[in-house]
Amino acid sequence: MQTMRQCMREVCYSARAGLLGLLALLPLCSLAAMERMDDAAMSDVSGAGIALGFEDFRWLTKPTSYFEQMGTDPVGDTTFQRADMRWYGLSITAVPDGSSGNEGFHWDASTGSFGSACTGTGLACPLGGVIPDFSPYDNPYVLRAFSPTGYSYDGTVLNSDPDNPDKTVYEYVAPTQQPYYNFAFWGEIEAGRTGANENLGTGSGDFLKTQTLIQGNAAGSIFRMFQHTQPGNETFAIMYHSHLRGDFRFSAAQHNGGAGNNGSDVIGVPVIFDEQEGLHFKNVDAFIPLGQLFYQALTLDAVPQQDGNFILEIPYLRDPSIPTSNPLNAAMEHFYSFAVPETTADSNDPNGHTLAGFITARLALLESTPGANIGAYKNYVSSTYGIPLADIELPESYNVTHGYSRWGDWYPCRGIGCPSVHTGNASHPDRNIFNSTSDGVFFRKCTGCNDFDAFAYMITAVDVRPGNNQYTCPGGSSCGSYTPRGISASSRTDNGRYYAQSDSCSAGTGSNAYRCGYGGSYSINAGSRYTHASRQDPSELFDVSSQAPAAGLPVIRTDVVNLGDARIEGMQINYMKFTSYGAGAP
Amino acid sequence: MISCTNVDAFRHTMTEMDDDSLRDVSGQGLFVADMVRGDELTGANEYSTPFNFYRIGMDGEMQLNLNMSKLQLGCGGINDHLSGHAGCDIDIDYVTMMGRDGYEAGDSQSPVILDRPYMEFAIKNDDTRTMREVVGIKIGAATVNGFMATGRRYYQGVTNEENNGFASSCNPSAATGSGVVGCHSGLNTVSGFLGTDLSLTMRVKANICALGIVFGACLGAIGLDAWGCTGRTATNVDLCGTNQSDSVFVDLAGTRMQTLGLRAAELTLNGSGVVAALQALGLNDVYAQLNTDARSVHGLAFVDTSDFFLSFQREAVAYPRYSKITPTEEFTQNGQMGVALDACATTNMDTSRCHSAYAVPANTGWWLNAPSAKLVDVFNDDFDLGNQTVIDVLPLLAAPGFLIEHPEFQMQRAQNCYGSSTFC
Repeated sequence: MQTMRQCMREVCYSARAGLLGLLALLPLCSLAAMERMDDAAMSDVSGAGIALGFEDFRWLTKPTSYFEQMGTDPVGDTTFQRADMRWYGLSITAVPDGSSGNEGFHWDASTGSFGSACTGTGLACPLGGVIPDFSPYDNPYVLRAFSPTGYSYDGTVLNSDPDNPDKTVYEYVAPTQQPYYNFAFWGEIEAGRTGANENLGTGSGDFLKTQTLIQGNAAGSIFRMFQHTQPGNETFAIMYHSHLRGDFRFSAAQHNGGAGNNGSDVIGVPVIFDEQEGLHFKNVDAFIPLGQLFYQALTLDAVPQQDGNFILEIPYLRDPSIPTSNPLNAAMEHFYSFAVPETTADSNDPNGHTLAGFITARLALLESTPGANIGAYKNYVSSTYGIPLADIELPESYNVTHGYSRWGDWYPCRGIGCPSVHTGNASHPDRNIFNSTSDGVFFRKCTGCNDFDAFAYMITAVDVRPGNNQYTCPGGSSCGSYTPRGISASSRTDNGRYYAQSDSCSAGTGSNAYRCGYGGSYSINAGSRYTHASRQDPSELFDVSSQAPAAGLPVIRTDVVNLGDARIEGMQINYMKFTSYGAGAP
Repeated sequence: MISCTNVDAFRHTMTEMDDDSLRDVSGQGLFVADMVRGDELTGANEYSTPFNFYRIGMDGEMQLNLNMSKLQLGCGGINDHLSGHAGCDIDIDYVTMMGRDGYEAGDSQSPVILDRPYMEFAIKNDDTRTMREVVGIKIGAATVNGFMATGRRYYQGVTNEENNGFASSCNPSAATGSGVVGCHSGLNTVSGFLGTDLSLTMRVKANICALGIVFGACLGAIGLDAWGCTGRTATNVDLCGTNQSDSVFVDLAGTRMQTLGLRAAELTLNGSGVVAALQALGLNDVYAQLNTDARSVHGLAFVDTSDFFLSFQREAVAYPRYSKITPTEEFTQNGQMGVALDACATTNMDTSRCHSAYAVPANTGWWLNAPSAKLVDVFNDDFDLGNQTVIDVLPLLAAPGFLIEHPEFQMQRAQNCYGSSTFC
């Protein structure tokens, strides 16, 4: 929600800006000179658009400038309170690397527009220098009218003849390649505000001051607006395919520079944030498709009661009144992008369903797994299901209709076609050690903070029925076959239920290939970071007595904890609908 | 959002507003927020008191239907020190979030419903700005109503495409063992807390060889063919009831779990022959231990589940419950005490966690919290144990019971596509 300082006309300006680019800078009266163009007139337009080329680019916002979401008390039965959120100092700069002209600096604006010098580089610093080739002349941002080939909601091909297009879209296309840049802001999350927003200093609620840094780029992203083709729902539609890659940091600790230089909890006052602390994501690569051209889109509507609430929806691909089992149309076939015929089946499936989606998903997974033997999987599918090898192919459309999100670069692979199990006497080089800061997801303490205790336990099940045996396995007693696969529980210390200081396993070959698990060989050692902590065992909150040794809970006491890598593959949003609650009656 | 598609309409219907007029305008805020201290609620403990928790929610209802072919969270990293061999904190093949029909998956494309989805930040040392630290992130909702379907089911004697280590091939004729697991893929590892309402019905068949088994031949065979059940079941082929008191609640918790187990499952048998005789004497309750690979489970139902969340944190954190009251208090306020199918709605199966307004402490790493998950009415009408000696079946008579390892639960994988494909 925009601040009160914005006039209502600027809401329309914002909508127009998406369509007309630089024309948003013209005064209102100029709109009287513009006439609506219908599709026929638009179809006479060829290659029309606006290119935005920026070199040696930097966008700095004064750290006291902000966007604000002003809240209201929620209606209905909820424990939530009013939320007010402010985003300050949104800036796009180079990723600071300490070189001349690209030294990093902080938010405090101690020297006018620029803040105190940042001693670190990269994610330590919120602001940097100029970006040499942000969107150069030969690879700019482009805003244009365009008529790409696509499918209508009913499966009809659209714009098959470029000289006679059927439908036109407005699209905003990011450069195909960009350097990593630094998108940063600091913010305030405020809960339960009671005072007017014109005077933020009074009536404030509980609030948290934080900093967000995204160092990467969104090259390849595309934003489109068009008329939806769903019969009876031919409304304004949005499609957004987001490509995002880089590193991310979210932090809260403020820098302690001694008396008079140790931050501020006053609303609206920019501060220097600690250069180390916070949640970090390294080596992120994500593609999130929201909608597909013409046949699936984000649409807006009012709640039928017209009470001021709204609906944001990605509609179903088929009218719900039509059986889901009806054959697919061309749009759905594009959406699913099967690599094998849809009829590929297990003849014994009692439900009569088919396997095309599973096979497609596995093929796509292998194609995104370094070192995978895709040919082995294709050969298996061909021989098992009688499909010619040449007919087993992942369509290019799969990479448009299925999203992914990857944080880091090591994911154990299991099954046909996976890379060979890692062998040797050491962990796979991409498998993060417990305190790695180079990859994956990690938390780091603040500069002046104490180390913290990382801790996890592994209970299998607790039967809460009175009078029954309650157990914890592995470890505990009489666990029988409750042993994790791969290694012998007896080789573990502390009953195999708590952290180990060190452990190692060498994967074998043949039937012993997976004796260490799907991750293959490993060798881990927390060294002196391994210790014991005198604190309550969480199992006691299940009314299960602790199995911890007398020395206390085994923990790893560290300044950095790496949670490992993560990925989501083959993500498809089939349906989404958000209905707001907040408005009262008009 | 305002649509400005017609210049004439634009010019005639909209007028400039001055600041005084604008000041009178108040719209709804899309977001809501809250701050909860780690020491202010009932049941505060050392895994909650060091933190303050800031929530940002969307003030609305989210309906969602989505598929993910692979979900892997927390691969490598610090939790390698916990179990060493297991790769990821959460590793699931073919995940679908969809609607439900009772305790089963709903129709294809049906949506899971999340009421007021929110994100929560666990902040340590919040009172000292130079020592303030982000410790954990939680993603949850006030309530979740839907079904999470996982994995793939094989019905022929083929290779399991997703698993080439343990249980790498399917034996559709198997009733127990790795041949059963080879027919399933899905839940590879799970980290979190699952407060599970469990029930199952199995038609148990066996030849009890009173004189032993010699060269594979069963001597003195006594046939066993009986329906066994545990928990609260809906079917009427067994003797288990449908009341809250008949329920079996199992708290499953931990990091990188690969097997799900239940000890001392009390199976109530009804059948013919020797079983009928035992039934007449009231001695038809037998005990079994169930140890199953998590792959055999193809879904969990969430029936207006509160406090369902996914989180990741650097140290153990007990996040506050959405309602900020204890589960027992919540059931009491809603008039569901003694009625709701949840351990915390009872007085004889509630544990300490039922009296805390903070969730079970989440371990370092990724954590899935589902305090009221339903795994009910698991049904197998042909559970054949084959030849068993008398000594083999003696554990049936007392807890922890006869070990049934990797039984076939006959759970089906829900379809969530248009057309004929199960997954897409």
